[in-house]
Amino acid sequence: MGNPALGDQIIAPHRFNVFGNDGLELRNFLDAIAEAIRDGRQTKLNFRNTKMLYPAGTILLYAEIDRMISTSAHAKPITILQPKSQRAREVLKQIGLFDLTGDKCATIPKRNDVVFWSTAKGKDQSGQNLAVIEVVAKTVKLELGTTLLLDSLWRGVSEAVANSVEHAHKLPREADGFQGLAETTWWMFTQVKDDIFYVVVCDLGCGYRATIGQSIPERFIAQLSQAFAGQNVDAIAIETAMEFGRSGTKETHRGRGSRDAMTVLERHQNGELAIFSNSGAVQYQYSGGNSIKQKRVGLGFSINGTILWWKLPLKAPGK
Amino acid sequence: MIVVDVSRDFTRFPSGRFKKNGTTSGEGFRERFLEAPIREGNTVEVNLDGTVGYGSSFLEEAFGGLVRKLQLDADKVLSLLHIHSNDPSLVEEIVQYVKDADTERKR
Repeated sequence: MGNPALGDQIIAPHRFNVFGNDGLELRNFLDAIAEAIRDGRQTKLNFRNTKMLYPAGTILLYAEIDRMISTSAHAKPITILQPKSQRAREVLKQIGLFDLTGDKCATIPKRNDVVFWSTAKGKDQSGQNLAVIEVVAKTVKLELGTTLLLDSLWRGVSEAVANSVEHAHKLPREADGFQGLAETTWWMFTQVKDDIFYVVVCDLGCGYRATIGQSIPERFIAQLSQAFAGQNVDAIAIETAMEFGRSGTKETHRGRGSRDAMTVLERHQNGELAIFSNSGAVQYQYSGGNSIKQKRVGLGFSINGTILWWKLPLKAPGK
Repeated sequence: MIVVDVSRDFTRFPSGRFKKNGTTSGEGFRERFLEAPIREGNTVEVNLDGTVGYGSSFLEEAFGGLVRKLQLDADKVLSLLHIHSNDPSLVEEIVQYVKDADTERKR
């Protein structure tokens, strides 16, 4: 990924996204940074040509940079060469990436599709760390005159964070043995763009597949594995956790948290949920209160963690 | 009767299951407000309104956890709990958690 003509620089992708070739390019970019940090090198990340930053790809960038800086022996292991694109520069400033790396950026975010990005992160599941959700809901009502269903959003997001805190670092992650940071377990972005609300929660832990056996009965896992044989194993693990919650089994008081992610869609009636875990993803879509899509996806690479992503229209279709 | 208002007396941001994972957990709420009066056979009125919402971990551990911790029947726990909420589905959910915990306890 490093380009000798540019010195010890690593070129950032044009688009920060987790699907398809974009996702693979993002993975390679993050791996190149990790390798440089492991080797004790100070590294310049060249974002000159970066233009598009999507929430899931961007939170993975933010979380991994935070992780790598936190575990580096250098005081300033990473320097950012800013994007030429004004919008991309505003987004990186708004989410606080320059604060993480200790770089100065004079850009003041002012675009409507940028100023609604907000960032939160935390070590535990204490609710006050997620209070930004309430702030965003109030802002949406004030600025756009539409209402986010705060209680259902809270249910989904707080349970996603609780799952990360309880399960993400029960085991080292497969790719590199990472066992978690003392000060941060989860990261969250919210964004409002074109009357659509996005919220994304990320951890850099071992993923669903490594831990579902601790909270879901073995025979339930076996049934789902058999039903979806041949498909991406991480996607099957996600679906197993979701299906276990949906079935409302009384066998155990554990395992319902994943289901709360879906409650956001059910109560909102319209929107999308995507859950990414390592090399797999499951996408859900609701319209008019009905489930219209449920799709398992193999990413072709591993995000080395878990991301939950919700997309909620703030106005009903047709209005 | 003991009256507990979650948003006033505990937090507006209830989240998570265990105390070890945060300050606003279901376990923390149960230990602080519910266990002693229920153990002594006192009635507790719990008002759920005024918070930003509830996740299933918080609710299950706060109320289902009463059955596990105090080793009481669901009927006993539910007879001593008066839950109020503008969202009836929350009350139904809590009742189910208490009953499920009892079923699990007796298995």
